[in-house]
Amino acid sequence: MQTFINLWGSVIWTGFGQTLAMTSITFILSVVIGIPIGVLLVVTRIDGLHPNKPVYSITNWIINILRSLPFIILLFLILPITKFVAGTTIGIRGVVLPLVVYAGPYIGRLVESSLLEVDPGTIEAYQSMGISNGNIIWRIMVRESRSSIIRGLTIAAIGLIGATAMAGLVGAGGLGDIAYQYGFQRYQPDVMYVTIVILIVLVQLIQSIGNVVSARLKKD
Amino acid sequence: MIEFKNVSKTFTGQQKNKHVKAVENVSLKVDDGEIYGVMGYSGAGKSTLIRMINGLEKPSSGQVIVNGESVADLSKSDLLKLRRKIGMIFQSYNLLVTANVFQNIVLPLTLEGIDKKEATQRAEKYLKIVDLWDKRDSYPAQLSGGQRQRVAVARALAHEPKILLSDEATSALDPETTESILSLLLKINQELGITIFLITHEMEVIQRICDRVAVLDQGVIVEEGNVVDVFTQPKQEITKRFAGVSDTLGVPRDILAPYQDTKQLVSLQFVGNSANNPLLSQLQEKFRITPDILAGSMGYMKREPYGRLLVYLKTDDKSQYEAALQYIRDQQVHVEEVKL
Repeated sequence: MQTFINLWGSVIWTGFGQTLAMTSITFILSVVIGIPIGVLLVVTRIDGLHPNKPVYSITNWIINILRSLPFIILLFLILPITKFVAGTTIGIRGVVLPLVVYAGPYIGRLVESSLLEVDPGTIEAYQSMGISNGNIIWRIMVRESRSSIIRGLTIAAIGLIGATAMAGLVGAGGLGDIAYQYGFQRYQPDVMYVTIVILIVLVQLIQSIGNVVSARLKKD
Repeated sequence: MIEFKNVSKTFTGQQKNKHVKAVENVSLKVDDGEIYGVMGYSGAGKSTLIRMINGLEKPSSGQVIVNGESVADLSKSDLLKLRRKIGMIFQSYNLLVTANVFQNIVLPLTLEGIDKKEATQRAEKYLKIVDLWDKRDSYPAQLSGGQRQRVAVARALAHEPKILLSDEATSALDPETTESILSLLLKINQELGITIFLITHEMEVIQRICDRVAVLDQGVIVEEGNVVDVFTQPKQEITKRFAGVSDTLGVPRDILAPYQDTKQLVSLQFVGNSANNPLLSQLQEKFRITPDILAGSMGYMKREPYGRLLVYLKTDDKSQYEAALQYIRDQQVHVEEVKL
């Protein structure tokens, strides 16, 4: 046990840090992009507050395209754009953009479906009170669906952890990369098992936090 | 004041050439301070009609005029201002499930720019009016249907509107709760002077609180007038059905058949003061007719007592019978021979 920690402790710890860094940075950016996308979809749909068929169709179409690409393909497909935006295509810097492009539209979809759960009657009631559409969207619809949105974001965060495992391909490191490089390629199963256990605990933790927060926000 | 001028509304369906006429050539006028009811079965166009008052729907033709202005012609910001002066309550309450009772009143007020202190004061004032101040920290899920509707009423009142629209507000409630919400609406109308425009498919709602009523059938107003007149002398078949006025008051036909042959089977309708007169005993004294009561019902329309009787006027003397009918009419009682 002691020898294992001496031998692998710092490698795994670094990997853990890299996974956390990649996941949290890209998660925050994806939320910042994903929530407006979800709102845009709900607002511009045919029975939305601001129906706009071209905007809805184009957004819908782009999201579907991005969502049909496996992350590993996306990672290589947008290399030139990554190079242009991040200045590099390797390391954590090089993997943030692909991860955001992967998770942003996904969160957009999750937010869309959460917002669509809001009772249309409630929206109509606020319209009848002379409340502006902006306030109805951001102060009423987002508020009413917050429990459901948190559940969606929890799913997205866990999905992101999975995607970061592939970030090792461009040298961004992380737990998934350690499990692959040392555990699989060099056949050191003990390293693989430890990283797997850490990933399991991490996912359980995130899911539990998400469940608790979501339940607290739910009042019905 | 609310006025509909030749208002029609047509919805275009999925197929371009398939139009649904929801409201057709409706004209009506609601005076300040009155309670006006529109009654009709579901699909009659009531929901569309009421939503044209606050611009949630726009008429295809004609005009809806509220406080002297055509609603459809208002600018976006003027429409928002108008809506703030028109409260609305719904069958499904439409409260925020994530907010407690107090927040449900305060939040919409602050969203329209009323400062926090004023909003808080209003919430307290109107929650006390609807008798729910002690439930201010509860969430809608913890309240009964009637309590939720009271919160919705308080939310509407907190904007201090001149007009309150009620969209089937009691349709999801049991009879007892319905009664409590109706007396609340009556109180609001009388004490705060708020004009109420309501739609319903429930006859009792109209009878209990409305001053005037319009009966809507397939988008068309088929009958309109004072509630007492419309329901005591309904002209249209649909109104009769609503009023539950079969001439026979629910008595099986085979039981009535022997009486009907004598042509002395009549239905009597008493409204207001005439309902208090001991008419039947006078018939016996004055005309020596023995009235045989086969069925009857008594009730109130708003505050007017109202009764219906199905009576067999037993006499062999045809002239006495005719004189009795005349006497009944002189007492302001509506009388009609029943034909099966």
